[in-house]
Amino acid sequence: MNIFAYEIKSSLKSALIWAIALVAVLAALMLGAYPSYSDAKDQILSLLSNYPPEFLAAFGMKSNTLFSYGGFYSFAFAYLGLMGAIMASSVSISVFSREKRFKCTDFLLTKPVSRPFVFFAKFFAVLLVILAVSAVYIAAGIIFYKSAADDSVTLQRYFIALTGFFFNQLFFVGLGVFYATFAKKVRSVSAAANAIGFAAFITSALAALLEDAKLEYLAPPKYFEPLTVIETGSFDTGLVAAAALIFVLCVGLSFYRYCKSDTVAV
Amino acid sequence: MSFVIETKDLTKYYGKSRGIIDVNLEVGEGEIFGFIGPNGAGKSTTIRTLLGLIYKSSGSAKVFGLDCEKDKVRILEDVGYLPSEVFYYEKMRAIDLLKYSAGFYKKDCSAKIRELSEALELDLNKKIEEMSLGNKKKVGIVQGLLHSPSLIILDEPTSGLDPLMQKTFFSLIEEERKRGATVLFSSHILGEVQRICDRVAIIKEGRIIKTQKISELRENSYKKVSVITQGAAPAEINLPGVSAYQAGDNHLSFMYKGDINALVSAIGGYSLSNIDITDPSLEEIFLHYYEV
Repeated sequence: MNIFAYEIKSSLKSALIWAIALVAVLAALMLGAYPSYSDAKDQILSLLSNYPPEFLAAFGMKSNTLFSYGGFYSFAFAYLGLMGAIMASSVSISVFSREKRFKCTDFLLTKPVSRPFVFFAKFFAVLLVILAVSAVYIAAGIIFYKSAADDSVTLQRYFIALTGFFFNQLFFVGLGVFYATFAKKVRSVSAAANAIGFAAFITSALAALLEDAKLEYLAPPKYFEPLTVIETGSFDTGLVAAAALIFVLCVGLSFYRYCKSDTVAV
Repeated sequence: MSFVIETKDLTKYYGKSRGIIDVNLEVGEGEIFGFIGPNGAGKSTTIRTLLGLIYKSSGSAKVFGLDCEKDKVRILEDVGYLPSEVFYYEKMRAIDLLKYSAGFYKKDCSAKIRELSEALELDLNKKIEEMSLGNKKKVGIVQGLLHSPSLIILDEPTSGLDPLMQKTFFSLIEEERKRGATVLFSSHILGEVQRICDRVAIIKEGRIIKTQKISELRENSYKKVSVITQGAAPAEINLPGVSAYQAGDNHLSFMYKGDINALVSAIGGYSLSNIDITDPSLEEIFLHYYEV
């Protein structure tokens, strides 16, 4: 409980800032940008026609879906998901590399707690933080849906699409834990989290650009893409399975390493 | 006799590199046991194995009769540890770190925190990142002793402490011993170990080469003698126990093992400007005494 509470307390401020930023961007896009977009459909379509289709695909702009509420959310998710990914990576790297960064692993591991206990205390603290932020995000998403959505997507499907934000974050928690546990040194949490987030964003853009379905398995933001839910009612089973497998592998290997490796003397 | 610490053929390799080899230690209850050796000899490796921070390659290590790996949590409930270099969460205030540390033990440690920090003149409201090395060390001492552990493991504890604080620290350790605590005291400074320990194990290149009582160590130990004479220094001193004799124009130095009164009589025959009789460094002891 001691470690769990400490990690929650240490992550609280940044989680609050992230939650506010996410809701603000969600509001700006779904309450501010979307109505303007749909009102100016013809002008925007003519503007977009000047760009190569590959470019538009890479940035998630599909002209056939962009002007529906669900389709626009799917476009917005490319950026909101990136923010969520950076946040989740940042929180998990911060929590799991805390002793490494402050060179105080000896302090924590000479307390009467087992290493599995420490690992799970940290893991559940990260989980609670992203769960809370995702809950705020989903609640805001529903509120905005009720005030601005058209009838292109049902609330039920939209809700499932919104939950993708949490699962996307959960996936990046796995990557963050893996990085923090296996990296010899973690100099900057934000640099590492940004690198993970943007690398994922680039692979996702590449997958869209090349329109290669196999590449989507290497593009984390595609695993919980809202458009699939909005069109079919559920996430792509294959991609969800890939995400689950990578997550379990990352967390499992990190757990093994955390519990079984020698701690390095300072 | 039951031992608080007992290792049998304890061996640790880091890949192919030697850590410790066949280390056999027996530390009795209430003892202050010195563990001495030069840097890289294996002191910290032994300690880190006892604390479950690293995993042994072979042999066994027990604390309170419990296995250091399987029963780590139960052991650590009653162990206090002060590492040679202290690092904590920099953003925390000392008091918050100590409260966090105390939260791991099933007892109220607030009175002990207050008592120790007063003795060490530690400002508990300062952030760790704003503290000098010496003050961080004081935080380390308090966090190692705040739960009144039965076993205190000190790994080169005095580095960073000024002489006055070292004195306070040694009296705190004496107090802990009077309370019934056992102390494992690792150092590369012979004088420190001689000052407070009952017995000492000497480790070199990963192996224990000698375990003896401090009184025996004192009897057998060398002194380093440096003399400045008023006239020409003698080419030799006819005194049993003298070794590594070196003489210049008006100065001489040598290692001496034997009756100190005989030494004083022998040197007293010359007209002197200055004389230093000191404990040799550990390296010099290894060169002249423990050369194995």
